[in-house]
Amino acid sequence: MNRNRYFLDYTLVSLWRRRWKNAALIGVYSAMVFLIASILFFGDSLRRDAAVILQDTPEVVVQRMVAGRHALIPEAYAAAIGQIRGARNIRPRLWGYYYHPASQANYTLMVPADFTYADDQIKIGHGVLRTWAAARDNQLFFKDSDGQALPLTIAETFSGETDLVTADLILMSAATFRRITGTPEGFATDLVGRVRNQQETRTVAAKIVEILPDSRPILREEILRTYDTLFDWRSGYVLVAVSGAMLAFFIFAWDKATGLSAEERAEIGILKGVGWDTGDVLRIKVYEGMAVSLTAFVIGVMAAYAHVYLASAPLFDHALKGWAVLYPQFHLRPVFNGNTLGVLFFFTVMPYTLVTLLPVWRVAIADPDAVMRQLG
Amino acid sequence: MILNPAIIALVSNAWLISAVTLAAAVLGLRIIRRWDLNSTAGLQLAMERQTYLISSVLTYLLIFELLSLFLFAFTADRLHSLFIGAMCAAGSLNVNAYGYPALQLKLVNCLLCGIWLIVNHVDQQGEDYPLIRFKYRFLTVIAGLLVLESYLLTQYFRHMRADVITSCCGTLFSEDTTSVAGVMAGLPPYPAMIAFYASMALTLRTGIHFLVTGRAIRWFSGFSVVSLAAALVAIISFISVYIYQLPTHHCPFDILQHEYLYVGYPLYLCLLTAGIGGAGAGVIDRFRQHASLAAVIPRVQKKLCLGSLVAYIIFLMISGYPIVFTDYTLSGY
Amino acid sequence: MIDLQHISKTYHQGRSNAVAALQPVSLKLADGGFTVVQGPSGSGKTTLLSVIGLMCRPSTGRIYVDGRETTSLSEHFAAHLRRRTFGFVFQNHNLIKGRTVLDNIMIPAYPEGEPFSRLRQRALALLDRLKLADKAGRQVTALSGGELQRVAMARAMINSPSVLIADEPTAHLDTRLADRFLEIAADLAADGMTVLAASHDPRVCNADCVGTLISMHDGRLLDNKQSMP
Ligand SMILES: Nc1ncnc2c1ncn2[C@@H]1O[C@H](COP(=O)(O)OP(=O)(O)OP(=O)(O)O)[C@@H](O)[C@H]1O
Ligand SMILES: [Mg+2]
Repeated sequence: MNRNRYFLDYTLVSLWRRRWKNAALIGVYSAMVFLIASILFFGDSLRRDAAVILQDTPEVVVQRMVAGRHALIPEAYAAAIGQIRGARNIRPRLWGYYYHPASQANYTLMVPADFTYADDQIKIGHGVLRTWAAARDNQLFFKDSDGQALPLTIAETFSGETDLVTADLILMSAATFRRITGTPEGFATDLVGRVRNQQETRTVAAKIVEILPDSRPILREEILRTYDTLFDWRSGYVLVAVSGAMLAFFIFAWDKATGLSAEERAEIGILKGVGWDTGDVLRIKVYEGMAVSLTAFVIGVMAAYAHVYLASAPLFDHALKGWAVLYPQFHLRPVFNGNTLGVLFFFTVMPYTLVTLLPVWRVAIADPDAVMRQLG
Repeated sequence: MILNPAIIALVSNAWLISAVTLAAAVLGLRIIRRWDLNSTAGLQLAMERQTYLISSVLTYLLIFELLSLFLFAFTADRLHSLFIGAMCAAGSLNVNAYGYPALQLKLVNCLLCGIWLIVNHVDQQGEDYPLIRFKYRFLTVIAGLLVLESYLLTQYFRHMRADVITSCCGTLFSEDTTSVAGVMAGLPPYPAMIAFYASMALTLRTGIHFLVTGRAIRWFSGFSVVSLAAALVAIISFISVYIYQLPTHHCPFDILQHEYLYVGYPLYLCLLTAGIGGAGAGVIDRFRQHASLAAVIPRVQKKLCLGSLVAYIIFLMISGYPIVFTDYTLSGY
Repeated sequence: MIDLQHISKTYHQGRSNAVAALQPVSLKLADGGFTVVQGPSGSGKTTLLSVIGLMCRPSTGRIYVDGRETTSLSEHFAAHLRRRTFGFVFQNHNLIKGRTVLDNIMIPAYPEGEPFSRLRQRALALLDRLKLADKAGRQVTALSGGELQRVAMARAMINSPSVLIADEPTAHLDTRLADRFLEIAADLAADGMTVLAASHDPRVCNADCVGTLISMHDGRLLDNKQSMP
């Protein structure tokens, strides 16, 4: 439509003419979009990462509880659980933590089901290699549960990018693990297994508790759900926390819109005088608002994208720091979903449009005959 | 209450829309009572100016209302992972008694809002505000419904508890369920198909008749509303089955998911456009005899009718694609 | 043909600061010709022009433009009719700063939405006619008083109105430029346009080209003097 092209053209010239004022507005606006978008993107990524990590975890984990605490589980339990209909591949798992005083870090020890190296060899993550204070000749010195020194040779390191998952991981044979941690023969850290039918996981869990009252089955879907709720809740909470900033911004926007300069008012008066109606004036002002909104939206989203995915969210560093000293190279993988953009749109563009419309209308209804008495 | 960004956006958006619409309706009440175009009193002038504000604010809000319908569907879909037994939006909407009513009301409101925008557009084409009273009476009704919708939405999210065991599309839209949804799913597909295609054919026929002769718009309008309902039933009854290629899967929400290329979005968007256009053309037909609208209404109706027909045709093409071009057949019926 | 029947205008009607700017006035303006409204300051000239030009609604009475009743038109349609029927030249020119001469001239035509090339051509033709062709791309802040007024006249004529309304057109002009204005106005009137100006400038009121002179006082019309050009 020609009409709209004219109005749009008029708007662009106006925007350009007041470019400094508009640049300031867009600056503040995109900072707000950036803040909210960063929060949302960050939440998305964490949720996605959790899902990726948990994908490889077994469907059921069975722990034994003694005095309300997680205790070693007899390997014989595996056979008992194997009897339950629907439960499959029940096997004991050995894993734990190892504190290394020299590097002041906690590492994760694990015995994989198919460890192919010798008893004095290990496979480690990059984080271990980087932080282990006294690594020499491909050897790491451990202390076993009796305090004896135990040198182990690095046979392999984890390749590349799965940093978050494997950074602090040390894989070893079962015998070595028992020596270091003092886990007695016949016991395991926990049991893991699969369930034949996804619909039956709850029933299987109930049966496990029935035959082994001191055990606690944990279902993967439960963990996933907890993570999901947790991350949703976190970002929701943060959003509520930044609502003060949002409010401040909208007051600022309102102020900008209400504080139309004398020159702008005069201009609107002239437009009304030469034959534009209120609707036409509203339209160019709304176009102006939309141009500002969309520009700020795009800038803010791109900046947030760069911030979260390219720079790994330095602004949220403190929130991450708590995780471990091992994750300096914590890298968030890009997740882009329409829902997040939609939510972002509802949080920013929509209130802005509404907030600016009322003051603009107040000017747009100026009497056309006012221009007859207006000083040039 | 689950505090999730999308939920905060939806709830605050709903209340914002209903509050502003309510305010507009209150101004509207005064307009209904005091409007007199021949008066030169300050009040009349003020009211005329308010109509500008109201119609531009509402245009935006109602567009946001339409967008939020999709955001709601999307959010409900994403939340399914929180509930045991939920595989898609069907399950998450079912976690409490407010989910489905909220969605249905939102749908109705979107239709009404669309029709209101059409009425508003027509009113602005007349030189003497011909539909001003009707428009604002209509708005009062919409404001009430929007408030109700916000209430239902808030209740839905407030009473949402993670870990609730819900039943999802597998049972909700299964042929053995005795609910309305179950009955729709259980409709024998061939009669449902015949009903759907027959109503579509009648809609297209009357629509083309109107475009050519300028008559029978009310028939077209009526049929297009019937077609909207028939299409919703058809999605549950057989279109979804063809898309999923599973004889027992009747879910109207799974088609919104990534696995099915988000095909649900264009489908529902077409239906909504077509329904609004068709219904709107019928609603404004009542005002044909207004002197200042005599030339306007047929013109607007032509556009609406054309838009509605195009939307229905796109719907037919998208939904017909898997029926025609895949090997899948409704075996067993 | 513009027909005013018992038009009155009271500002701030019904309030304590009400000002009766126009007493009931009836007036017929025939098509074509140069009409001047004269009267002392505050006599209601500007008010009369804005009521005629559909800039504001009269408090009582009716106005017919070419037989069409206009007082109960919605703002949108009043604006539409106003654009097509009237062109305005304001006392202070009131051009929009920061835009070129050409843009300023085309602005009243934007809501009509005609193709750009046609509009531009028309604007350039008008500039040509008013001897401003070389100023098309200039900013309006870089023009002289006389040029400003001619730009304002070009803007008034962009929608090819049938009536040109000018309020105190010569207030800021020296004699040479005032004569130039009268020349253009007479030219337009000769082309069949109705030119309606308000002025208390004797150079205008006593000019030979003025066809009808309407005198006002305290919001009332005095007897009309006809003078043959
Ligand atoms: N917006 C307004 N509000 C209140 N009173 C007004 C307004 N505009 C004009 N008036 C009053 O109406 C009367 C007529 O004003 P108007 O401007 O029509 O006079 P005028 O003949 O054009 O005067 P001048 O020659 O000084 O331009 C004046 O007394 C003026 O004070
Ligand atoms: Mg004056």
